[in-house]
Amino acid sequence: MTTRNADILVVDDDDDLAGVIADVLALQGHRVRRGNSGYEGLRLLHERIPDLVVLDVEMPHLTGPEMAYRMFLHDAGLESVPIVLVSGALGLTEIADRAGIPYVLAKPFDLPVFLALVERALLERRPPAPHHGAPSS
Amino acid sequence: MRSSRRSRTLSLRTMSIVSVALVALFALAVLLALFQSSTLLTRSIRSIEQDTRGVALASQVERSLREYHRLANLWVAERDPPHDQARSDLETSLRRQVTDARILADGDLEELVLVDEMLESVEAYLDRRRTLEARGLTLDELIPRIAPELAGAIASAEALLRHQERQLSDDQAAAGSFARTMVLASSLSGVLLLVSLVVVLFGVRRVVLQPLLSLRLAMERFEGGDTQARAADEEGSREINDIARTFNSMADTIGQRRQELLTFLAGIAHDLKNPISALKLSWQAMRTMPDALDAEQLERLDRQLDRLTRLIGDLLDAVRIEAGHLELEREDLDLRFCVREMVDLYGPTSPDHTVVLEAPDHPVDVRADPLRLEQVFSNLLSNAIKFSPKGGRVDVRVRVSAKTAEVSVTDPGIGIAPEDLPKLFKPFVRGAFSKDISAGAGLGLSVARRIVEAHGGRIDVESTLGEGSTFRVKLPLAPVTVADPADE
Repeated sequence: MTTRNADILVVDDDDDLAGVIADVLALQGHRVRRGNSGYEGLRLLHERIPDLVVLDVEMPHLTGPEMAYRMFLHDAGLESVPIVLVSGALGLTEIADRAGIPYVLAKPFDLPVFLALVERALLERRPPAPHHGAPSS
Repeated sequence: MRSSRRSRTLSLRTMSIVSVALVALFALAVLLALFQSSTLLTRSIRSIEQDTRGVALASQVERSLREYHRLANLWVAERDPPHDQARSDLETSLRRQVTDARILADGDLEELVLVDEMLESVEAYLDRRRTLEARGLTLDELIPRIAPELAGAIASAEALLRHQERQLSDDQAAAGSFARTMVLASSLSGVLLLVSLVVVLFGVRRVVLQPLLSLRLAMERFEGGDTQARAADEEGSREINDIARTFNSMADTIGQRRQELLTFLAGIAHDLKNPISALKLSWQAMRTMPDALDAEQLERLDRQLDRLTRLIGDLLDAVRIEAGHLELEREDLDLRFCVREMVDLYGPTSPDHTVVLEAPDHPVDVRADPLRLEQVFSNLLSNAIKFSPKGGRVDVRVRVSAKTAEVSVTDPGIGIAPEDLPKLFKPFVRGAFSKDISAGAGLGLSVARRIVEAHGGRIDVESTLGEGSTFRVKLPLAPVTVADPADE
């Protein structure tokens, strides 16, 4: 069973990459919104809670993990949104572990792998479970 | 590391000067002592020599006296001519011995007195004898009459002998005690020498040897890959401490540079991943869903390839510049045109921004590499746009003053924190603000600075956090050539 027509938020400061990801997800039949930074991501989240967030790690001013942490602190439903963490950063597994995010993918990734992960996240809907405190950026 | 702070550390130079001085002093002292003691020893030997001769003479006189008395008595008893000769010989030698004793006594008052007394009493005896013998006395009559004079002469000889013997034993005692003093002094100085040698050795070990060993060890460990290896820099002589400190700071610099390089490489790798991810996804999407292909996607692909090309180009530039090979192909050009080209190129890229150019009416001639200048200005302009996300006006001004041309780029953007300013132009340091700019991984500004400096100019920046920044590029004007009066 594939999920369809989910509300997905893509947050990445690289416009071109965010654009490709959005296009690809749209082609799967989902509704996609895009955010350019951690702050914009939070704003869009408050507007409407999505079914899934595809989140980049390294962004200026507010990183991906920092944004996830604020979602977690904020409650109001934000803490239960599943997140797919994507990044080219070193030590991505540690970052994901610390933030308690189960869905992780390192850039550059394969399209089918990405789509499969998104499917899984939409089905399982496991939210992040951070271990200790705020991310140490 | 044992911390023994000294407000004043020993310098090897001082130590060696002091040691040499001390050794010289010691040698001098030893020489003086040797000289002195040899003089004293010589004098002592001479005294003992004299005393011994004195003793011999004095006892000789006494013996000769007794012998003479015996011979003289024999002559009186037998009136024998052979005895006469022997007796007269003995008398001569007796007189000579007394004279010798007198010569020997020269200088010693007490001895002189004794010798004179001996002389007198010997003469008295000889006179009395002659007188008595002339009267033709028999031996038995003679002996009691000559007895007092004989006793007197012998007594005086014995007195002299005792004096000489006393003198001798005194001088011998003196020599003995002198010898003992010498032995004591030399053993003492021997011990002193040994002790100071030990002290010096320990000192050298602590101040020179051990610090040098520790330094060598630190160097070996550092070479072996232990980037934290450092040498103790307070333990040794000043010169060695200085060397250790220099090594430590060199190690720090190397470690720092290595760290910066690693961070830079990580940054590059990270920055490459975004365009490659986009490329990969696009391509895979196009393959699996060819119907969805549209112009925008193709354009996107193009853009990513451009990004990658630029990134790699900048990386090569940075490597080349860091290695010291920046070649400029200089031309005579009007700076205004170069800047205008860039403004025209970047102005339209952002709908939220307006780029305004202000330049003088007269030509601004510089001798520069146009492609490289393009790199510089494109970097500054794209930064200005990127860092004023809310849009606004970017002012580009070209100005001339004395021998310098200045191009300033002012943006109304987020500004740069004062603590980040020194990091701006560093080649491998990424600040919080250096995202993946089109000029690449925090490379752009450091490359720009190198280019400007290679032209003999400089780049400066002023910034207020929250209000914006101004980057100024100063270049030397081309030297003025003689103007043709026909040109105006």
